[in-house]
Amino acid sequence: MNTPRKLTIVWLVLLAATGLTVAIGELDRKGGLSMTLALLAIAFVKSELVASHFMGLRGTSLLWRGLMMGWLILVTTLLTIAFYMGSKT
Amino acid sequence: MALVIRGRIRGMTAAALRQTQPEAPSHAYTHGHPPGDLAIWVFIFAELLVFAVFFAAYAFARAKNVALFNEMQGTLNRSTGALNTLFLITASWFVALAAAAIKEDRPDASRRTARWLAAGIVCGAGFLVVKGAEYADKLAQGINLSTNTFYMFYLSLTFFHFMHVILGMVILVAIWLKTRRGGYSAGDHHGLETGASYWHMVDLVWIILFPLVYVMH
Repeated sequence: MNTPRKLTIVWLVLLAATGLTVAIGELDRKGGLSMTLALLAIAFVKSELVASHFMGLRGTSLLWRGLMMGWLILVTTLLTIAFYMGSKT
Repeated sequence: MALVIRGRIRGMTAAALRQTQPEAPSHAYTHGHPPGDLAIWVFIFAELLVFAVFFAAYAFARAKNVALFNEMQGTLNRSTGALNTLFLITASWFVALAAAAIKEDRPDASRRTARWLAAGIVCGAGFLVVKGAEYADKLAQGINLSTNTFYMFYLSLTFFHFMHVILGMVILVAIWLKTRRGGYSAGDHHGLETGASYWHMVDLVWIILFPLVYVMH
């Protein structure tokens, strides 16, 4: 079960990850594939934290966790392919 | 699309209002299932798939118009996008705290839960105000769906999400009202968890949407 303390730790990590996303955007003006991969990795971790702890999928059956993980992998893979294609044009 | 959204809102509003009716106790579902009603999870994954298509469409359209998308992304206000991320993450945290509070077997559980839900509603309202101000600013500049490909995607994608936030707010208000009336307890909070799960989905989508549209270039 998610205790209020655990939920607060997750919230703080999410805030820090959001700060990191903004910082990468500000510091890396040039952008490119490395920036995309870093931002997608952060978004992946944030989404997984929300799904597991806020939505409560942690501790559910493999089906539900697999569906969420599958969606996350699908989205991040499609975006990586699209941004890779963009970097080659 | 507007008709579909309106239809969904009507349907979900009815679902939210139905939460005021008596319901099965929370222990009615078995361990291993996600919190809340099974139907909301089918709906959540259907919504997530729709957003996945939107995200991919944006990214592949960008691959053919990289210079335009990068230039137009520079006209967005990244600070308000980041602020809205904070609003939604914090709202989700408050709602998760509400779901945890109702499970505590203490006499003031309903009051504490209602307080967390109210805080979540305030943060959700914050998101709507900031996003509404962003839309007003763009409209004042004469920007609309036909301005260019980037703004077609920006406006339609973010507005589709905006409608989901509004729907999430309607649901949160419905469960807040029921909580204030003492409608949920440690042994019966199925409806609250159903509404909370939907709200977290709205947060989850924005966590991808914000870096994709406002930051990645």
